[in-house]
Amino acid sequence: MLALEIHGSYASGVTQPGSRFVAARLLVVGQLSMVSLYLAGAVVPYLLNFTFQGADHCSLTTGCQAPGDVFGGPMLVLLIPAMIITVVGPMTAVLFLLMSFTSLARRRREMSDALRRWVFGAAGLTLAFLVFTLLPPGRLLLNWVLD
Amino acid sequence: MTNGLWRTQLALVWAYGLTAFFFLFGLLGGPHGGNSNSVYDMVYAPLPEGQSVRGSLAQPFAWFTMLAMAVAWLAPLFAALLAWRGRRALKGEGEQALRDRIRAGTVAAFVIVVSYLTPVGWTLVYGLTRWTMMNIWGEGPDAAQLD
Repeated sequence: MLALEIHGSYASGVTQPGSRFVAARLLVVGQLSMVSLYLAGAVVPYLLNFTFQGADHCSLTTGCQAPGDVFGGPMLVLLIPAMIITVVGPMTAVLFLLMSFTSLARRRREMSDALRRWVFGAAGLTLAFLVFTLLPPGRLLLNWVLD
Repeated sequence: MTNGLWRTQLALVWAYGLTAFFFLFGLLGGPHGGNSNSVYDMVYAPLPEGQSVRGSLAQPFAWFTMLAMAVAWLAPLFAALLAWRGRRALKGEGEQALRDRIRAGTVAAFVIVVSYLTPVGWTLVYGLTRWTMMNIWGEGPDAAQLD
């Protein structure tokens, strides 16, 4: 019905432009930014500050260090979104995956090859993120953020 | 090969996905992190002044958990049925766009069935059932001795 209305707004003889898949592109951007913010704001800082020093965020000398105790200043710009993603990210990832499935199932043949690869890739990355957050390293990061 | 079959498969996928969403919400504690209504807090957090150790269906989240439990129990039956019907439908002729959708829906239904042969499916059933029972009946007669 909606498609018909849009169609009707073009003068006769003017070809309707192809769909630009705005929603699918936004979905890919959302998934990629979620995973990259998590990596840049939670995984890498934890690796650099604790794991590579052979420690974790709770030690006998310093007690448990929350992210706010370790970082400050401009790093917070990265840290705060990453903390939010660490806590609500797994649930969001499930919703993202449902949207990816719906989009691919309905219109994958109409998408360009490149866009299809992006949607598949972003969905795979989101699935990997979901699995990681439920494994021990991911739970360690969650505990760090909740501290 | 009908649009109704595809609609049913899509509904199944979303129902299963939302079940996983509510499972994760219960496991990880939702937007408040570890500060409210997560299972960890149900067992280990100190009860606020005046709050009963008995369960309660007063918060909407408890109802969603119960709904998700019903889906978690029924999903394998429906998924097997829809995978079988999808396979049968794909043997016949049909419009290409609809074939694509039903192929994706059938694959998803198989994946859901297979998830019940792995700990993923059992965990959804076990966790959501247990939390529903805890929401209704609380910790049980020994609750006062838990700490």
